[in-house]
Amino acid sequence: MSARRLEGCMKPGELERIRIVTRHFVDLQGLRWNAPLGVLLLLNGASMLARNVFLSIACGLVAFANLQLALATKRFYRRRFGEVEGFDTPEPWGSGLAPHGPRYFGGVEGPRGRPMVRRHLDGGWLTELFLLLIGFAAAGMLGLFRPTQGVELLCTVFGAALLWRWTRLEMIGAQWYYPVLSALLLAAAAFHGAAVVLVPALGRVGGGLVLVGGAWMVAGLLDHRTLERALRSAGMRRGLFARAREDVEETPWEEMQRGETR
Amino acid sequence: MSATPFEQLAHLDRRIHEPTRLAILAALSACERADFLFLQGITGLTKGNLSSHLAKLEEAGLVEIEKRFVDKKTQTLARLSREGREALDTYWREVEALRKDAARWRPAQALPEPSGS
Repeated sequence: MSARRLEGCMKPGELERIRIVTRHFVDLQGLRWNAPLGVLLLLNGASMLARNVFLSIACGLVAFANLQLALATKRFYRRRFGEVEGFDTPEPWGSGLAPHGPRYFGGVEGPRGRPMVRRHLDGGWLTELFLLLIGFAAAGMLGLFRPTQGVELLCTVFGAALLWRWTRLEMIGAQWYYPVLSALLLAAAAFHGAAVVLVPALGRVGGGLVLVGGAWMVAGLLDHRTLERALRSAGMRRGLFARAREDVEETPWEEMQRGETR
Repeated sequence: MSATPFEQLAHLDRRIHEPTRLAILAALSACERADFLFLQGITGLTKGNLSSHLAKLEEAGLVEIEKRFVDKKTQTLARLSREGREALDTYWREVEALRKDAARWRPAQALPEPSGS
């Protein structure tokens, strides 16, 4: 009996998949983190390229709506896939943008006994990236670098950030799109002259923001697809598990134990 | 004489060494706590089976169950207890030792010498 049944229940590497998806469950919620950031950058870039006040205002409003939508997706993910609380509470938006943000700056203990400041420092990588972007925009406005240098810098920073995220998420094969998108951005930075010949808009910071935003938006959408697939594939095995575990009251080991005690 | 790897196999913690429970414990070991819906999705179990296994794990003291209200609905959260985490660590150490012993094991070590030869 049991060897065959056990074989059917658990494929090699299954426990590893479970462990990795659980650990990175929050990070894989692409519609909550990467996609909104990408849309935000893309809209900013588009408004800069448009050079039209009304279009810029419209882009700003859509960007704000996008941010609100991103905050609402937490509930969507909780209802669709459930909730996981990690050890280090990854809250990529960190302090400022989360509704409960200001508390993070206090030194009080969090609900799970960790200092709030520590939680902020651990998790707010997206906020840091966002602040970096504001700093970058300010430096650009002060004329500290030329537009072409700005595009190169943007592509290098966001391309490297994609690569860093890829190595951190442990899902090397399933997230093949991270190195591809990162290579695209780094190539645009390295061969910027040639890229401008092909796409003249890349000669302006707005064009760079559109490229970077597009890459991050695609990464977010594909992250969401990866999560869907990881949990749907488990659902497809549900039939197998259900058949194998119909007799929950008597598992193979309990069966064996019962035989021993007889 | 020391037990063969196959005899050692029978001494593994049976509360853990069962594929479905191992899957639940593996998920819980990778986080602080997870809710019922997530565990159902990640393991592919039906509600009844997952409930039954969680109840058994809770009864064995390996898992702690907590219920709370979110959006006027009950949410069931499970977390690995301290005892559960220690038991799982011990289990993995034993499985690793067993794997090494099984790789070294030769049938001749276990079979008695033929008397006639």
